Parts: sequence; C-alpha cells; structure tokens
Amino acid sequence: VETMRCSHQLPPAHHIAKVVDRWAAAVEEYSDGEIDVQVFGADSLVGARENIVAVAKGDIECAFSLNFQWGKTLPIMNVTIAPYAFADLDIWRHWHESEAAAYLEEKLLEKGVKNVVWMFQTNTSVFTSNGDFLLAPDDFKGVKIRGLVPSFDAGLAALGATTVTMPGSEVYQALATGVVDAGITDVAAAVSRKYFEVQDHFVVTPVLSAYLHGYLNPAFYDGLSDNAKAALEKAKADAGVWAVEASIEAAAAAPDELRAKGVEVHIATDAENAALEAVMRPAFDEAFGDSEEAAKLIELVGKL
Amino acid sequence: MTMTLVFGGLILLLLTGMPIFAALGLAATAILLIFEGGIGSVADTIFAHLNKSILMAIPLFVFMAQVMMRAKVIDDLYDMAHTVVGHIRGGLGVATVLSCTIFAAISGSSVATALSIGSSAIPQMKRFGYPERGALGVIAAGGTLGILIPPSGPMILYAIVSEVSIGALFLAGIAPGLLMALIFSIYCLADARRNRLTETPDWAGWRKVATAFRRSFWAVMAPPVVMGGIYLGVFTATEAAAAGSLYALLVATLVYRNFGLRDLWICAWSSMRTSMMVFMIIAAAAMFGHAITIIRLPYGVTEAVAAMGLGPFSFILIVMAMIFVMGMFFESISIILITTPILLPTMIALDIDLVWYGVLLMINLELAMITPPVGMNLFVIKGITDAPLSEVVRGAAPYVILMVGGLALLLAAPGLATWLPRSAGFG
Amino acid sequence: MAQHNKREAAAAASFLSRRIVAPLTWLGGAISTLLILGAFGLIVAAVVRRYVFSAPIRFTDEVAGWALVAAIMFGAAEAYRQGDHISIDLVTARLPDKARRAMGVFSDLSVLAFAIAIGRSAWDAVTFARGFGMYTTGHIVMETWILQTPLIAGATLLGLAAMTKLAERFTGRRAP
Ligand code: NA
Ligand code: NA
Repeated sequence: VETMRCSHQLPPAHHIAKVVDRWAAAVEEYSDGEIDVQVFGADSLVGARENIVAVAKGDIECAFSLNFQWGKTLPIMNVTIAPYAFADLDIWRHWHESEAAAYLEEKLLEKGVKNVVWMFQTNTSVFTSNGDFLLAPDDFKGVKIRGLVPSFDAGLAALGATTVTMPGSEVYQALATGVVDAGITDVAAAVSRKYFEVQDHFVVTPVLSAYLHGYLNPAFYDGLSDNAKAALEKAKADAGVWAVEASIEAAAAAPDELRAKGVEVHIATDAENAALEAVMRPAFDEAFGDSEEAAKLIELVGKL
Repeated sequence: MTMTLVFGGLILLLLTGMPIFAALGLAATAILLIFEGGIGSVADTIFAHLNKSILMAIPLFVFMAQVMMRAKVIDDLYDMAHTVVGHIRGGLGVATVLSCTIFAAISGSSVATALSIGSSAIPQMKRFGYPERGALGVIAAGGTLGILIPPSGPMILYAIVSEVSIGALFLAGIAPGLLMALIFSIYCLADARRNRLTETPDWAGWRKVATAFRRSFWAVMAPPVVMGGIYLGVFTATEAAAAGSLYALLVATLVYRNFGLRDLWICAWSSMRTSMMVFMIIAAAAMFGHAITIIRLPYGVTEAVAAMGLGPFSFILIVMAMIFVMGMFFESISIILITTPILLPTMIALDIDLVWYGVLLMINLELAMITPPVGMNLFVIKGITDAPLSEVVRGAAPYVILMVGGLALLLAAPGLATWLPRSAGFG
Repeated sequence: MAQHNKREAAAAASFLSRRIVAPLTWLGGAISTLLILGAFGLIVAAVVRRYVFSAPIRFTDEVAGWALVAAIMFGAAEAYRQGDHISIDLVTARLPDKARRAMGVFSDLSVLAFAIAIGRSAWDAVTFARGFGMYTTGHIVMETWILQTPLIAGATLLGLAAMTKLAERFTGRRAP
C-alpha cells in the first residue's frame, strides 16, 4: 500500500474541499486500496505557499493549489484570472480532456510536479461593498478594496480603486471596521466567509476564473503501479465533472443565500460586465505581459 | 505506544533544562528522522510559520511597553492605580486584570497580551510590594484573555474552519471573557485577604487621586488611542501595534522629554531580545506540530472520540478533556486545525451549537497556555522575569482551577456565550 | 603541565568567545533590531500614505513577514548567548553540581544539534528552491530562496554560540 499525503488550503466545508475528499475516496476505491490517500486540509500540514515546493522536493507526496499560487513560478497557470475571459462554463466541462490542459500538464511536469486532477472552483465572483453597489467603472473611484494578485489588481487600479493587501485572516475585521471599503471574492466564499455580516451590497459578476489542481511528486508517481496510475486517471475524469457540478451548485445557491441574510444582491448584466471588462482587461494584459506560452494556451482554450 | 514514546521523550528532553525551543526541535527532528527518513521539511515549516506580518505585532507591542517603561510613563500609571486602589488588599491585582482585559480588546493574541502587560506590570507590582508568585500568576492567566475577548486570531481560524460566523463568535466571547476577568479579580482580592500580604495604606483622598490622574493622563490615553484606531477602522491589528509604539514614542519625546536616540535603541534592543525567545519557541512548536501531524498522531485519538457514539453532553465533556490534555503539549493553532475538521461532522449530527463550542474551545486553549509542560504564557512570564519556571507554574495553578471552573460554568449555562450573538440577530 | 594546557585552552576559548563569536552574534542582534525598527517605520508609513495620501504601500504586508523571519533568525543567537532562552528548571535546580554540569553540556550539544538540523534543512531548501525557480506571488516578485537564506545565517550563528558555550564549560570559563 502506498501512502499518499495530500495537503490543501481549503476549509473542510468548502464545496471544492468536499470534491477533494470525494476524489480521495475514488482514488482509493479505483486502485483497489493500493493507494491510501490521507487528506490534510485547511493548511494543517503544509501552508498554501509551501505546497508546491513541498511536493516537488518530496517532503509530501501530493498537494492541491489554487492557480494564484503559481505566480511568476509558472505564469500561464494564471491566464484564467484575465477579467471576463473564461466566463463560458463549457470550457470547464471539457477541460480535463482538452489540449489546453495537456499543454499545462506538460509545463507542470517540466517544472517538477505531475498533475493528476483539475477542479474548477469558480467563475462567479462578487464585488462587495457598503452603501452602494460597485457596478459601473465610476463606482470604483477612490474605493479601498482588498486586492488579489498584482496583475488582477492592475485591472482594479484602472477602475480607479485603491488596492490594499492584507492576510486573508484580517479581511473580515478590516471590512467590519472600514480599514478597507470593499472586497472581491468567490460568490460561495462570500457566504462561507460571512462577508454578508460586514458588507451590505453584492454585485455578482463572472470577473475571473479560478481552479484548484492536484499534483504529485513525479518520482512518487513513477513508482506507482499501472493499476494505480489508471485509477488516478479515472478519478481525474470523474472529479473534473464533480467540481464543475459542485461549483455551479454553490454559485447558483449563493445569491439567494446572501439575499436571505438581508443584503442587497445584484447580478451584473452583460452590458455592465462589458463596461468593466473594457477598462480592466487592457490593464490586466499589460501587467500580465504577453508571452508566447500564454498566446498558445489561449489559442488551445479557443478550441474548447 | 508511539504516543507515549513521543510525549514521554519530549517531557524528558524538557526536564534536562535545555532551552525549550531545542527540546521541541529535537523531538521533532527525531520523529521526522525515524518516520520520514529525512528532515527536508523543517526549514520550510519554520519559514511558513514565521513569515506572517501579524506576528510583527508581538515585537512592536513589546517595544511600545519598553518605551513607556523607560520614559517612566508606566510609573505614573501604576502610581495612579496605587493611589486609587492601593488601600484595597489585592487592588493592584485587580488593576492588572483590568489592564489585561483592556489589552485583550486591542490584541488578538495571548502571547502579545502577556508580554506587553507582563514586562511593564511585574516590576511595578513588585515596587508596591505585591507578592511575586501572585504577580506571575495573575499576568500569565490575565494574558490568556487575549484570545477570548475579541478581536482574536484563534477565533477567526476556528470560525473559518468550522464556517461559523466570525461576528457571532466575537460577540459570544465578550461575556465569558469579562466573566473570567471578574473571577480572576475576585480571586485576587480573596487571595490577598487570606494571605494578608500587602501593606494597605489609607485611602489617599480625592485631591491626591486627581493629581495622580492628571499625571497619568498620557499613559491612560494609550489604550483609547489604539483601541479607537482599531474599532473606528483606522488600523488593522498589526498597524495598531505600530501606532501604539508611535504614540508611546511621541509621549516620551514630547511630553516626558526624557527620551533620546540612545533610549530608542535600548528599547528596540530589549524588545528584540524578549521577542526572540518567544519566536524561537513558536518556530520549534511549529516543527513539533508538523512532525506529529505528518505521522497522524493526534488524528487517531480525535477520530476515536468522534466515533464513540456519545450523547451531546458527554461528547462535549470528553472532547474538552481531550483538548485539555492536548493543550499540555501543543500550541493553539495546531489544536484548532487538527481537531476541528474531525469533530465537526459529529457536532453537527449531535446538533451542538458551534458558536458555543467555539467559546468552550477558546477557554480550553487559554488553559493550554498556562498548563505545563508546554504553555506559551508560562514561558513568556518566565522569560521576562527570570523567575524559576516552577514558581510561574505555581503562580498560575490557581488560575487553571478557576478557568476549569469557568469552562464548567459555560458548559452548564451555554446562554452566557450564545445570548449576546442571538440578541444581535445571529441565528 | 596539564594545568598549563588547560589554562591555554581556557584562554583560547575566551578569546574565541569575546573576540569572534560575541561580536558576530551582537551584529546579528543589531541587524535583528534594525529590521524590527525598519518594519515599524514601514507600517507607520503605510498607514500615513493610506489615509493622508490615499496611496497605500502595497508591499508592507509581505515585507513585514520577511523582515520578521530575518529578524528572528539573526537575533536568536544573541538572545541565546545572553541566556534569554527559556528552559524548564524544575529538575536541574535540584541536581548536585556535577550532574548539573553534565546537563549543561547536554543542553549545549542539543542546541548545537538543533542548529545543525535547521542549517542543513535550510541549505537544502534554499538550493532546491533556487533550482526549482520558485517565486513569491505578492506585489514584490522575488525568488523564494533569497528570503530563506537568513535561516542558514541564523543557524550558523546559533551553532557558533552553542560551540563557544560548550568550550567555555570544558575550560571552566562561563559565558558572560
Ligand atoms: Na483579543
Ligand atoms: Na500547555
């Protein structure tokens, strides 16, 4: 029996954390118990920032990261946070079997990790604020908002917002007291992280796409039997679909859950989204920088 | 078996009198070498646990305390406290509990609370003849209020893992936090009376009180400035520590006018030394936590408790006992991250109020800080006073009993925690 | 003769301690203190910029975290040399002199072993991250190995401090 310890950063009740657990059970089942998967969520074993190196180095066998964690280490992993570029869910339904995914997996292996599963997490975000909706580009002028990553923040800055960085654990308190005026988060996270307690206006908009992906130490992977590798392959196809379903469900339920908490929720219209995209996209592209790799990936995504 | 070996080994290492960080680090290294065959993860673990801007609040709060001490701002504050409550036996202890309570409403960390209040208060309490053991105990225990009275770092962590409302949890901590402070105060009064230890002068009279108040004005203003900054949304917790330090520097240079560049360096240097010993323990505790997590040691116990098939009340009782024992060895972050995800499904199935449980957990984590052999607040107090650890442990022992009492009270009357969030409209 | 050798060794240990290790760990402590003061200045500047100029400094949070790691690593040895580190004295205080001395040696050896473990692991982490090309993801993009090098420096200082304490124990001169 091969023990496979998997670290991830999501809290246990998160909809994708549940998909990770389901994937773990599937891997154990499909491999006829050959792989014993031990999941350590919520940063309990290795921190979010250290997962990649810990797996590549072989300290642990397996980890999951959000694409944000790759940063400059492997920039194309972050193509999906281009504002409004990946709003079409069909891209994600067929992702695991796509040429685009294969291309990224090749890049990941060159870097030093063997990708084994893709889990689409969200393409539905919310801009949260107090008093007024953050809807049109003008609404963002002078607003202090908690930023995400530099390239995306460039898009927010182009809207006239001031981005503030702080650890995730301080955001709630900062929103409560007004150290920052506004936030941007996944719509399901706005419910689970209780943003509705401290913000009263929510604009639901497909501004960025994020995914979690699971990867193994390459030497560990190579040492697995063919049966175990086939099990991982099968679990990958299943979990890819489960993740899309879970995310659609979470995103669909969230606006009503927010409304039930007594806050104002607005689903942005196509025209409103287009107006935001027109300002944010050029700034993002400039900050992200062009690369041949990114162009190639976007071309492959276009085939989906 | 492994469990006995690991904890027995750790206790033996600790008893040899080596620095605590070395004992924790060596125990972790041994576990990793035996079970993992290598220590490759050690550096990454340490880096990950120390690379947190929030922790910068610790040296900054200590720096603030050092500046106020060196400029003798604290002396005026304690003179004032002595003038007002000096004629009451144990009054100074109550004043210290009050300081801890106020500081707890500023800081989200118990270590920061014990360090800041302790480094300034202990010399003062000695100055006024407060018995040493009593002073050590009241600050070790009072400091733990930092995580029960909001804001609280561990509460946020528990809330995120369990998905309960952070706001509700913060509200739920207030009444039990104040209640604990009250219990500590009553104990201080009773203990001082029983031992007849403090000389009690007569009531100083209103004129002297007014003078003392005027002299201590700038010291008294420090908490409102920092707290106001946090609650009005001017600073985050880390920024509050920096703002407090800036305030102390301004008061020292502009009002007291007894503070030069050399004083600045001396204060910074001593806050460096004081916080380093705490941080080395935090780093080594992280190593130890990582080592026993990777071999899944605490999981087995927690899973066994979850699978016992108990009713809600006996379940909570067993869980609290288990966490109390864990608390002797681990620091709070590991306990929250390891136990909460495993216990959560059972608690939901048993219909246990997760906010109530969160507050129970916090009190238990407070206990963890003052129970030997590994208790952060015990170490902090020992570090700033040079008193023998046994003396600190003895000083804190009555408070362990008081806190277990508080825990029992909250077990019997969940309303103490849940009333405030419910009336504020949280589910 | 033996007496003479012992005196010479004591002189050598004392020289090593006073002239080389003490200044080095003091320098580490000074760097640590400056890092804390620097972070203090940066955080104050960030608050002022955010409110007075509406132009926040975006990297404060990251830099404060890195400064803290470096401060701890550079400062730990000085705190150790000055005897600040906390230990449990329940048993050792009751031991006869000889046993207490043996415990002291064991304690120094343990700190040395701890320093070696961290230094070794940090060396591996730094070389691996460097070869891997791992970058930070915040507003300052930097290779992570650079940020981890203070761990190597800190472990070296701590190891040196432990070795001199040990030398002083054997030569009969106590650390200052
Ligand atoms: Na607090
Ligand atoms: Na403890």
